[in-house]
Amino acid sequence: MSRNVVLSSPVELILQSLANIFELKSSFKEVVILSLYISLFAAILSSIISIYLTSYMAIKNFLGKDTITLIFNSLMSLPPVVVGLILYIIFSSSGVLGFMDLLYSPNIMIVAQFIIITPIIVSLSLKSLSDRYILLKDYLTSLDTSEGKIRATLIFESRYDLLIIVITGLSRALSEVGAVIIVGGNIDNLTRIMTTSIVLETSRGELSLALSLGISLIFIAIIMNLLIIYIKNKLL
Amino acid sequence: MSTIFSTNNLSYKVSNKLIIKNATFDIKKNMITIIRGPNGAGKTTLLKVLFGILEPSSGVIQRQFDAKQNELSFIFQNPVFLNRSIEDNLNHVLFCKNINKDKWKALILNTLKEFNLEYMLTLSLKSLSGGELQLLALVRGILIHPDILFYDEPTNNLDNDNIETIIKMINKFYMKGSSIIIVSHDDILISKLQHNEISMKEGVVSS
Repeated sequence: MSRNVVLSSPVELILQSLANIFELKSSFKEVVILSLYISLFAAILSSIISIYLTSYMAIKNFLGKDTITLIFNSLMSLPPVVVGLILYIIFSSSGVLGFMDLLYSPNIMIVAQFIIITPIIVSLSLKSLSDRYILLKDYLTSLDTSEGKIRATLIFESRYDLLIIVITGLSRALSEVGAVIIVGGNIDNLTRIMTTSIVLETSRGELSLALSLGISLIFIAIIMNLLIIYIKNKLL
Repeated sequence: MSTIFSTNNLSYKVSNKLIIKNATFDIKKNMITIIRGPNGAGKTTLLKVLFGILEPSSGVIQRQFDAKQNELSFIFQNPVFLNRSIEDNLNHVLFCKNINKDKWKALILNTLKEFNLEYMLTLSLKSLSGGELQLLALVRGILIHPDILFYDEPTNNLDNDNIETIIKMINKFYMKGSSIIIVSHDDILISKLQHNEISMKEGVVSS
């Protein structure tokens, strides 16, 4: 049975969407908070692991380094729906990790976003740290200091670049929908986040609600970009 | 006078091109040794090989000192600084050399005062001139009171005033009893330092 959707005028729609945002209904607030929680968790976890790993890769030459770099570079364009599908197969009740009972939970959404953004953070931070190391190599070698201090110096010296990379990863996570809708299931009050909610509300014809979420998402993206511009102009 | 470095048939090769050709020489302790020669003679490469930044392709270097008990310091021709304040650049050396953090401030201030450079602490790194950056590089190099100082082209691109200051600083530091190995082709610098000389031309060393 098809449903007839009555479209309001664009101005009416935008006004209603803004009203939704300013009213801050609890369901709307929960969706935004859960989105930020999942994406921030995934971005922070991915950043810690990626930067730790790449600070080692940047200063060492080892067999397979080029291959690992190539793999991470290629995985930057990994389709999120494929990630979602693979995780679904692995974590569904008949899958190899089905016993963990993670499917349709925020945790599996964090895992999905982690997998999607890690290649981006690894590739970009490896480039940044390697370039910095080339610049500082002679000086750091002459200090005859420990590997840990060299890595700490590199990370600290690349701090603004790395911050921009983390924000890029976070933006990517926040805007992702393909994987999280498959593994999260878009369950109200449990796994519904901004992007999956937009998909649902649009299909239900609740365009003003979908648009308010869209505007919030764009607003967050603008804040991220302003932050990047500020870091580039003021601190770099 | 005892020797700190003895080399025998030392060579260094890059892509089949010999940069240092069978060099055999000694470097004495508590002396200023100047490696002199025209551009492209291989002087900087020799300094880096002696320090250990580069590994020789063949030949022997005997380091006649205990590496664990002797601090070495290298000042580069084009010194690179970290993207932080002047004080933090100096702090970084002490951090890497495991110097107790309580001593950092006094050590930095005393070294800067010794050369009348304490005004630098109030400036930002970006505001320093090329000459001041060279002076800061020297301060950073001698901050830990190294037993052996390796100094690559100290007076490169400096005006006469800064050359004089650098010479005074080198002499003052030398008087404390360190060994200094300098790479230079600057006649003013060479004439004003009492030194042993190693000449280099097209990779060939004559001492």
